[in-house]
Amino acid sequence: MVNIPVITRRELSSYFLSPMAYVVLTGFALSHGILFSLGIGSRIEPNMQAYYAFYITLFLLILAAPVLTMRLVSEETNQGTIETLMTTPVTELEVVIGKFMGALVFAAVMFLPIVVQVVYLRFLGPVDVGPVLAGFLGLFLLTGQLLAIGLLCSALTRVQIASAIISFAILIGLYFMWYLGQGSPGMGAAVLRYLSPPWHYVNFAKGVVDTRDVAYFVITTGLFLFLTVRALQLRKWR
Amino acid sequence: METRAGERRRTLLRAAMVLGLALLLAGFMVRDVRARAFVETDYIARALWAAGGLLAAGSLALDWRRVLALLRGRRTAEGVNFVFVAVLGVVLAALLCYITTRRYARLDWTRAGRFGLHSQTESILAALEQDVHVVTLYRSDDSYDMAVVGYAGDMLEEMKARSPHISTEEMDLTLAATQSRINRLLAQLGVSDLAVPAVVFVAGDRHETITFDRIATSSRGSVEMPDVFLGEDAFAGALKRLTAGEGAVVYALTGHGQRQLKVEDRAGGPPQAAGAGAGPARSLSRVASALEHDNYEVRVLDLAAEGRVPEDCDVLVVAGARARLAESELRAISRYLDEQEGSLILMLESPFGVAVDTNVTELLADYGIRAREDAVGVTRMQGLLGQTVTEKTVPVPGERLPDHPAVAGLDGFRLWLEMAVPLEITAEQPAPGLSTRPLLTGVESSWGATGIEPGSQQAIEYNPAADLPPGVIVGAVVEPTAGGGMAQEAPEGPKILVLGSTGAFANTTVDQHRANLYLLSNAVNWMAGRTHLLGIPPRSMDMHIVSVSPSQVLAARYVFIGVLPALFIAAGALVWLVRRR
Repeated sequence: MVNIPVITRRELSSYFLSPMAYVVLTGFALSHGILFSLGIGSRIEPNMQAYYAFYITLFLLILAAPVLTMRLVSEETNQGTIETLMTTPVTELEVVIGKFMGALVFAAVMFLPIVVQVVYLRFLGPVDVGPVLAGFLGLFLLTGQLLAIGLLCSALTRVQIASAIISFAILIGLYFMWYLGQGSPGMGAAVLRYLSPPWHYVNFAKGVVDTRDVAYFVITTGLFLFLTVRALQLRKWR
Repeated sequence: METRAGERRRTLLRAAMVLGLALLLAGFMVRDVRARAFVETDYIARALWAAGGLLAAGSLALDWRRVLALLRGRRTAEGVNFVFVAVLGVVLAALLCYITTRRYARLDWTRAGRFGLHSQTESILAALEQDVHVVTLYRSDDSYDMAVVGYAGDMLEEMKARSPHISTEEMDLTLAATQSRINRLLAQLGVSDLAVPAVVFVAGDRHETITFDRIATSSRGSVEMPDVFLGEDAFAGALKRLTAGEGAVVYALTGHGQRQLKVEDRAGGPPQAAGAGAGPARSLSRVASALEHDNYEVRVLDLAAEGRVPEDCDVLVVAGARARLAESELRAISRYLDEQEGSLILMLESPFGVAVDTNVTELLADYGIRAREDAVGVTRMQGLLGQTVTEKTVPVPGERLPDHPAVAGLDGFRLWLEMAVPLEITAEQPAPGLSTRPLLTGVESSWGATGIEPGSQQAIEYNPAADLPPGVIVGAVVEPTAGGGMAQEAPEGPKILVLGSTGAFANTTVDQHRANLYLLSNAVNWMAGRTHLLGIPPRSMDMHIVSVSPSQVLAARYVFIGVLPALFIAAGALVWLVRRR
């Protein structure tokens, strides 16, 4: 596990040296800023506006997560650098965790506008700190899950765009389950609701930390990272 | 030609296989999910499964040689291994997720505790042994409905977390598919219609309907954004009524100009004819509704006709008698208190507000309480323009309330008693086994002013020689004290709650100061020995609407649409320039 920080640093420097990172950061800040500003009128409720800031992030992440993760493994596979990486004394698990952590730290930088927005709302009126902290916790867990899905897609394909499209399709599917599962009583609908990340995330944004939601995000993130490790190990056989 | 034909055949079979599997999956999805266009989706699901199964099985059967060859290949072995491990991982994850949904905790991180439950609700849920199914009927195209559904949904989630006997269901009335479910619900309940939008609690063949207007309201008059949630009390009340046995009985004395609790009370005595208790604004019908909501039966008692307080009376309420009671009536109440160990809530009407000539306060003489009808509770406070004014109202903040079941849960509230008769405690132990103590003590700037002409608008100044001292008492309680025995049983004896004001509990007042209503609800539950059913105070959604100036709106747009994205662009450009050199 000692190699994880090294791989994370490598990933981060690779992120910040590529123009794509700044395109993603700017695109996220701009779209989030536009949507957030639309909610600012002559009279606002700061806590609801803070909730709104977290809520819109939920949807912007569908676009951002695939773009952030698409190159993580598929680029290395395409360029052949994955073979070099795998011949160094690092395990597949360290590679996966290191890359995942790198993407997560980059996402944290991407969320800086939300911090500024909360500060702005605090300047306008009282903002309940608890839901904001819970919102950031939820955002961290949600982002982790979406990045893990993207990482798996990146490990399964050689082409970056294909990886982005597949992970985008999966995320859309997961989000769509939220819509499908609402207002229905059956077991199938309950399962669909449970599988959908937004269903769990909105609780955090409201200020409720439910152990079921935390467990859902931790377990599914762990599952997708595990599958990514297996996908990398599969290469050894070929 | 054969190769090309074979390739085409294989492609077709592969497509058929994928399509078949997709149809099978779609069948599962269609079965349960809401389908806006269809009333029943079962037959569609069955058709999809049949078509999907046929396609998948057919393509497999027609291409069996290739399937066999594929199964023998090395890549297939690798793939199968990966899929096997993946399935194993998914099963393990599903198992873990299932376990975490069986035992879980919800932590409320909001300052106002918006998502927590009152301790009384927790007690009710802990004692719940019967399955209760809760159905929320709403319209998804109505913003008020959706706001209430949000609040109610969170509260019901909390309830589900505390009791395995609670299950929930939502029905969106805008969906055509919901109609068949509503019909099934109506048939189950044996009713032809239900008030909507509402939350319906169903336990066996009994049900309780709580309409949305009883769940959330707005303190600012904004219909679309309710900010006061009353639902917890309503939901807990529904659970109480569904699961509790026979209700207790509260009698309201009539015939002496009291304010109305029940409609029958209109047959009052002469002062009532003057209009004292008449009119919905001045009546106490909200109190009666709250008690009925807590599974009490409120009846009117004409003591002059009955001669005695009925045996089944759990609590007797005298709500601001303005005329004198006959000696026989006073004796009947005394007998009820002493012999039946009864409970009495005595609300006083101040002569400074309306004409009063009553002897009802004579009842208190034996219990160490003296009602100072020659005085009125006043408070020095700051007016709208910052000037000092003295009002004939006594605020009682939550922090001045003692530790007593009658005021449990009111710590965060402020009670307001207008035109209150000040009380004096003359004996803390009026009789063996009885204790008397103040319950409602006004703020430090309040006192009992004397020497004021009723109805006069003269300036009121504190007179230390004649007036009652600051921190005026406007509510007192008499209760039996615990004996010295080892038994932990509740002490026996009469219970009396004296409230210096009746107007404080009138409809118009409790609409503004809900805590006043909750005080009475709590007091009745305490007197009836239902301490586990004490009233649950309303909760604020902790909303603060703030005005944003045009310059602040503009600043937000500049910063969030302009400056922040520009900073990232600048950082990118800087990195590009540095790397170029």
